[in-house]
Amino acid sequence: MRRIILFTLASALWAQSPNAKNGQRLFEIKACYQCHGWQGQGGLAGPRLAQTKLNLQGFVAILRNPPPSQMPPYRATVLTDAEAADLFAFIQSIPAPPPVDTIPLLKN
Amino acid sequence: MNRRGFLKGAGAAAGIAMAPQVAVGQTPVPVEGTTPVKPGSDFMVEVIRSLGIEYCAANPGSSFRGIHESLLNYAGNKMPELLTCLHEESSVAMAHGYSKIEGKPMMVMVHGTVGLQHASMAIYNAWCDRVPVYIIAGNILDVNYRRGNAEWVHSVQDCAAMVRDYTKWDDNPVSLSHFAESAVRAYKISMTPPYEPVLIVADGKLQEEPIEEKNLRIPKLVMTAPPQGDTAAVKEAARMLVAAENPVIVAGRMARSQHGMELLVELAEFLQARVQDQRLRMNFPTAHPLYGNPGTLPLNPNVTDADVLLALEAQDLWNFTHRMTPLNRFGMESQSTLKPGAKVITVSAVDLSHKSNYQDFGRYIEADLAITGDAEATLPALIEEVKRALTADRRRAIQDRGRKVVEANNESRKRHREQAAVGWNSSPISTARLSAEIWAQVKNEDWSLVSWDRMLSSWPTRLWDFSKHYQFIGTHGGSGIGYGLPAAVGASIANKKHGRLSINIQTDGDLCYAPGALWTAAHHQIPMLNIMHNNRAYHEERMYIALLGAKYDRSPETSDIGTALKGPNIDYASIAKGFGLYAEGPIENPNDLAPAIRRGIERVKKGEPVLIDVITQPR
Repeated sequence: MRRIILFTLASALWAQSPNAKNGQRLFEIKACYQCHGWQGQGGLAGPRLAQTKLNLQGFVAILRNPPPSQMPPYRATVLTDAEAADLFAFIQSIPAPPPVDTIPLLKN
Repeated sequence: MNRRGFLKGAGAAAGIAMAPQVAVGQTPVPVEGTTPVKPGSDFMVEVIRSLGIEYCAANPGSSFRGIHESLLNYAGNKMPELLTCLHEESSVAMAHGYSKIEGKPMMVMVHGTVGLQHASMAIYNAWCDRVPVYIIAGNILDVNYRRGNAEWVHSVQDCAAMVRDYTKWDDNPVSLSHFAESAVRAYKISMTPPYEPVLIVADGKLQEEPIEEKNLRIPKLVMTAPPQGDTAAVKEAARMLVAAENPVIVAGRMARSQHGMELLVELAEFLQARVQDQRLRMNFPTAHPLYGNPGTLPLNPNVTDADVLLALEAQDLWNFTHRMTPLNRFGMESQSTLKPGAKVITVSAVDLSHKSNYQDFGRYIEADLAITGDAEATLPALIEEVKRALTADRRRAIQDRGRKVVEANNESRKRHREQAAVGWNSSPISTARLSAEIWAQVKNEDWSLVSWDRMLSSWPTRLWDFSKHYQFIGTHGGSGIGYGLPAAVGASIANKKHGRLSINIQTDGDLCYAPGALWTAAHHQIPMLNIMHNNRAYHEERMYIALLGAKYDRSPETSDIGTALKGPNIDYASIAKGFGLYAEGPIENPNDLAPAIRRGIERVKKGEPVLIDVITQPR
């Protein structure tokens, strides 16, 4: 029982305070950047993650069971729930890009 | 008179291009006052000169030393001019890139055994990419002429056997007249669509012994008109396309020339049909409103809305029209992505040149109408038939469809620019930023991108305005790495005489295969701007290792092992400097890119090859 209470407390803690910095570390070592780019910008190898419209629940659902694609399933043995939350926090922390109209090279 | 005396008398020793001693289609006229003693290789070179070949790429090999010497001292190193290569694989890849721009073959000389073995992967690339390469392989067939062990281990009974699966034709001539006939025939075969590499063995004895054959002549080269699709079938294709509600054109290795591009534009505009370009050739202007979206996921563009699909020299069309179980799932199932009742029309000359062993032909296509014929040669007839089949009603419907395609195209371009902005100021530098920075510096020049752009998430295709056939050379064909740099050098050689600015966005892993091609560029003063896409890895494979590690609940964390090119980081600028190039980098700050590229272009305009190392994002 004590163990369950501690686990619940711990779960609540990580749920409340995900660590974006750790998420950034995981983004690298878990190879997320390889397909999605260091800023989650996406490319032909993987879709854009930056400024995602997903919430944490939706993000984790796709992480655990991605649609048919090149994206592997990241189950809890590879990325814990706490780590997934940290990862999501990092993705959410990626600053929005400057408006296209403010970048002369992209105006046309 | 000795041989030198003969050469002097003939004028070649002074470096003057000689008039051919043997006119095409005629018997030779003896040169007065010279000895009749001259090597067979002189005649062989005359035959080669009759084909109008500009360059010969070679790493020196003793089995073709006779032709090598004749090229220099008999032909004055002109037509063809020798290009010194540091690896046979680079020689062939150089010829591959050259042909993409110039539309005709470069000659390559290889040592009969080890040199051809080195060259073989690049020959395979050229085969898969339907590119003509004219290969002369040296060999000593007669055992009595093999001087010592080196000539035994470098001799072979059937020289072409090792590459016969991926060359269109070869021969092993046993006399000079036989060489002449086969050499001319080989050129003709190579340049008949589908273009492919050919190989002629030049026997060492024939090269080096004095000419003894009488009445030698060079057969007249008559090029074959490319095969055109059957008239009735073309008419039926036109009927299907005009009646279609949403025809889509898939262009693979379609345009062999600027004219081919213009024909495809004409056809697409008559039909107001979207063109999905596989970017294997410069098929269609990327800024054209009917240009399909190149930046979609999955990699193969969506053709699910087509009711008639016209595939022109398409590669792996089956994969274009089917969905297969991806790597993150188990097993293998497939289903068509075409809507029910959709019709498929194929036009291709590749059906004329199939072989069995290597599987580059792809999966069998259950087409509704399969037309064997070169697509570019078939388009004029198809366009005429489309024009005939167009009624006033169909014209109105087609114009309405065109407006929708244009709207969708504009929307996708807007999305590309928005995506390009993400990570704009990041380091490593995003491939979108790199592409945009290069474009800003070259767009007002007469430029030519002499590299593939898929490894940069196709950002040049998405952001640049490609409108001329020479502005893009497609890809390697067989996915054999080590193609990129030498192919870019070869394409730049072709661009040089036209005064074009050649740009090679060079992947790091590819350069490491055969960096010696940099020296060839420096040695022959080939102006080209090499910009490294240095993601410090064989990144495609790194992604696969990570994918499989995660898929099996192991770890994606080990994926750098065996794939990453770091620890130590490779200093490409120093490598380039070592080969005699002007070089800068590594550049990690995106704001440093523009001035570096400008400095590079200044040098290139003076006739130099330049390399700028840029640390980039993976894709």
